[in-house]
Amino acid sequence: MNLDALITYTLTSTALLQPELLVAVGLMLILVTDLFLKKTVQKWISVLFFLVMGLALISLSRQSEVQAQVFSGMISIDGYSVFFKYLFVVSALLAGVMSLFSEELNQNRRRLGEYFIVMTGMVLGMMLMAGAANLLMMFVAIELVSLSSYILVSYLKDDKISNESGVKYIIYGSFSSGLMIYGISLIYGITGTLSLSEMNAVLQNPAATIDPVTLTIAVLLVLGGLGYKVAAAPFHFWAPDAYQGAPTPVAAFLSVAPKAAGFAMMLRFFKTVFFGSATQDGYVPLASLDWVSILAVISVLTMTIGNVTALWQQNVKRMLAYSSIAHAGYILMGVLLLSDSGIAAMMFYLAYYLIMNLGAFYVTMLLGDRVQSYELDDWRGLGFRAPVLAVPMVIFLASLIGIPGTVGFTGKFLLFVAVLQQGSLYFWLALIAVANSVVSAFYYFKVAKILFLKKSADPHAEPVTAPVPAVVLLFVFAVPTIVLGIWWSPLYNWAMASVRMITG
Amino acid sequence: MTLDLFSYVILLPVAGFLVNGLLGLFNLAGWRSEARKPVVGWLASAAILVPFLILLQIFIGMAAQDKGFVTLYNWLTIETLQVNISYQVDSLSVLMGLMVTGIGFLIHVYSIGYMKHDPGFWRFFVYLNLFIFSMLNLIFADNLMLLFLGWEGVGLCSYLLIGFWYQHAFANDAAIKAFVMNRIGDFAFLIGMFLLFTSAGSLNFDAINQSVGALDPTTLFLAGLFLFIGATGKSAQIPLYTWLPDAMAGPTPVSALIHAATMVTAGVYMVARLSPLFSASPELMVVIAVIGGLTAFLAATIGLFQNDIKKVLAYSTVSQLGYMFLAAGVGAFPVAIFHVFTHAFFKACLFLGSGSVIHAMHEEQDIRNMGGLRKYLPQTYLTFFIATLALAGFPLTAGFFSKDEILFRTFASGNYLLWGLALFSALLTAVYMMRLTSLTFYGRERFDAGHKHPHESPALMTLPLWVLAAGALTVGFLGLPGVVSHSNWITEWLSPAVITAEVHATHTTEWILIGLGSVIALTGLFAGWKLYTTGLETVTRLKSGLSGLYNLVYNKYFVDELYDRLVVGPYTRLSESVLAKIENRFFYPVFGWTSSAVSGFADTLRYIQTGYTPVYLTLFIIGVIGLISLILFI
Repeated sequence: MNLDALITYTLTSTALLQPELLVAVGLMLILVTDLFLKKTVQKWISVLFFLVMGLALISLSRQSEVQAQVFSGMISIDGYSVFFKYLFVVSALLAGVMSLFSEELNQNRRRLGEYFIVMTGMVLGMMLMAGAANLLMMFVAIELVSLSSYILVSYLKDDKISNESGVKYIIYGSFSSGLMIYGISLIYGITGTLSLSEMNAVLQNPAATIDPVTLTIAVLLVLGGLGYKVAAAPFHFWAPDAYQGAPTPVAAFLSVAPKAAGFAMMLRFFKTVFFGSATQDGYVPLASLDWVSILAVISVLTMTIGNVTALWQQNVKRMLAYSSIAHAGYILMGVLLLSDSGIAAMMFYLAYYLIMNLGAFYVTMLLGDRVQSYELDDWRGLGFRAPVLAVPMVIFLASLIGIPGTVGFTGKFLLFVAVLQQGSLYFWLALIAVANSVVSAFYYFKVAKILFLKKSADPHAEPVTAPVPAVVLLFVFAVPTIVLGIWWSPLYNWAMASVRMITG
Repeated sequence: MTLDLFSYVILLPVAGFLVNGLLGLFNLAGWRSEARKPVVGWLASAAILVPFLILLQIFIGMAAQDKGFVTLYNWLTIETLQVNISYQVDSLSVLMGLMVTGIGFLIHVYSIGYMKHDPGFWRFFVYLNLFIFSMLNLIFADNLMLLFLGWEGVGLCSYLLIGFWYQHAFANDAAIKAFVMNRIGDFAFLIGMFLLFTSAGSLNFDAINQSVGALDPTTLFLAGLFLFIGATGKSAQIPLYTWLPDAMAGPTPVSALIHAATMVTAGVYMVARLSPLFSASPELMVVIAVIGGLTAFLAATIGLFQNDIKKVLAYSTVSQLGYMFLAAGVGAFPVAIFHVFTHAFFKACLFLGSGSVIHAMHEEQDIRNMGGLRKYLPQTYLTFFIATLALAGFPLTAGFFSKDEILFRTFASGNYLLWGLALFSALLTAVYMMRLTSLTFYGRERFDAGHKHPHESPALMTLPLWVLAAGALTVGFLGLPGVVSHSNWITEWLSPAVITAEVHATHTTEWILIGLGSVIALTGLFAGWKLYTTGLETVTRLKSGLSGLYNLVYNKYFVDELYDRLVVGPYTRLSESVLAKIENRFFYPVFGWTSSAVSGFADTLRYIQTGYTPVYLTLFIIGVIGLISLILFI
């Protein structure tokens, strides 16, 4: 390749990476502005953050038809990654607004600039995760997200629990990163490449001799790293501690966006590397590794551990943490199905899960800030003191269970249909998932029961209110939870169209 | 035909429902306050008026054979089952839609006056808008599934509105009764739907109606029968009619809109929509005609001795719905719809008039305590009287044309027994309606005129009365009998959407029948007037002379008691024994064990989450090794 061609290639690649670059430039801009901005007007830094995210959205909207690999196959830009990038930017926007109403964070408003800097970095990392088509790129992106997460979790630096959970998170995360990079090195050792598509070619080549045991161990180590990102059992132990200690908006953000990024990456990894022929539907997996069974076991373990452990939780944030582990288990069903409808169902699930789970965390934050407690016992009778907050909470809970009329039902419906379409082979998987949904109804509705059916300890307690903008944001979460339950075909069709555009 | 604006017909009522509902629910912007009442009321009314105007515009621009579809989106697809949120605009649905939105709007306006002092004002209008939304879905649906959604929706609104004054136990009981009765019908409706789906392979009306010829006659009969049982629930026919009279516990505008003009006609509409299906099974048509004729007769006799002004009207509604099914049963589906249309005007007018009377009499509903109201409520009286004439079939009023057409078609179809029954019911109708008018408006005051000062209702309430009364006088001319005019507009208009049986009868027969119908109406009206103004002693003597028969009819043939004995009692006892023997002895312990097993498991599991990072990391490694061994050794 001569120099001219190289320059042209680099320029084209750079142009295609516009949304990521915008976020990266925005990150530096916020960093510098934060340095020079007076401490009293620091909250205006959030405006800059929203501006950057808004520009990223506009830039994304121009990439709906792109299908390319840039920088020597390091990053794929296709409908699939664009779908996820939308999710990351939208959830960053929503979590950003949510942060403005958080008491915990606003006590530290002095340093709100740093908060948004780290958040921007995390968005950048997730965008790279969704597109990464090379093991090294995958690792770098995942590390960027992890490092940002550590900082955000321990963001309340005067708070002991926040710090403790941050440290635990770092240790756990570094451990899993270490194992993952070990797995990557093993894969590189046996296939001689880091690019996902080249790996696929090697695995398909009958002449190449791959030791299945080494391959299994290597892939499982990589899976450990990915499983840690999506909080799938048995790599989930960090999640409850981290969520409970983190500021609530951060916990909310962690429970949706990095999880979606982890799934995006996991699916691209398996779909690109381990398929024989990538036909439209009904993929043929490579015989060398039975990763479908591994994922099925992980899926069942994850949803069962998440739901069952959630039963006993008294702290709402911790309960929601286990709930988000359980949902990762459901979503994994979509990953292992080897079908377009399964992947589309997974994407649909992640998209609305973002809305309803952010919503549930948001109400938790508002209520927790006002009663100064996240313990369920202190929430008794709150429904009548704060109907405007508690009624949407019930909507979110109903959706998390999957009650018809909410989007949670639609998502589970699509997922189960996709599972059953694969034939009776997966019937038991659907059955376990349904049983799990039943268990989950118990702890979700326990919250509703405590809010509305239990008497408040203090009969003369004041009504609890929230400022009007905060309530408006609440409806931004609550309305789609209902509307998407009835009118979901556009979102699903978009997910389906994106699936068809996955490039290696 | 342009359908660009059609989606607003569906969306505006639901928008009204959402705006008033959310603002009212959270009491935002003072939405429940006295000052906001006009805003709430007029907003809700506008959400119905605009759809009416859009439909009017579509109606003006369309020809009878025009048919358009508006698909909002595909809700779900499971193999061959497609559920589309898709609407069908044709002559039948537009006519019904105009009626529902037009009369609905008038009743909304009336309610602004009627409900003025009710603290649940906003809630009332929220339910009304939701009702109109559901009703429009029912009417415009192009498939049975969406129709069922509307069907259930109107049932829900009916329940909510009957029990609107939920502080009163009787209102709650009536609401539950209506809901349960409807659910029984809905269950049958669902079975009918499943049968059709498995045999015809689709739930779309067009597909069903086209596949009728290919269906097995038994399946066809059963599917139609189950759908019709659903219709007897919604449209208050034998055996599921007893909820409608009790439904009068709701506010009077509700009785006018839901339990007279619109919702209860849904069954007739459904039968007309599937007219090719129903008419393909002669046995089924006989069932429909007989049930319709019997209901018309039975309800007319009960109406004769009721003393609650609204109960009389309720039984009259049941009876008139019977006429509609009779028409459908003899193959005159367009005539059934014609009667739906005319009935909507005069029955809504009668109910709103009764509301005006009740309003003036301070919630008094017993006609034995009324009388002589003509001079206190001149406008109410006049409109009520016009509507009475129309319902009784006084020549040239709306009811005259539609009812005579039903009688004529019944006669022409050769069902002379049913025709005789219907003719006799027409006589009874004229008598009980004139009895109602006489006892309410004529004679001397049977209340303490010194204490009660009945006063005419405000213009907001009387204006809708006049519009409806004008309709009761004129809309009949849309369906002139064949002997008078060669073009019967309504039959021709509906002909592309609804089929109709051939008529074999001479002009002479038709003239004789028209004459007979007029004589019957006039006789009945005269008898009712004479007996219940000056002949009250005769009535008393007749009552004591025929006390056995009188008691039987007065107590509504003891049907409620019969149902209590036959269904409610055994059912309650069954439930109790199931609770004691199965639930408490079997399910309760089993679920108890299951739940303690799960929570015990959970209790163990939660100790894994120790909070110590080394433990977590060990478990991580154990997990990886476990998975590896799972793959390699199993």
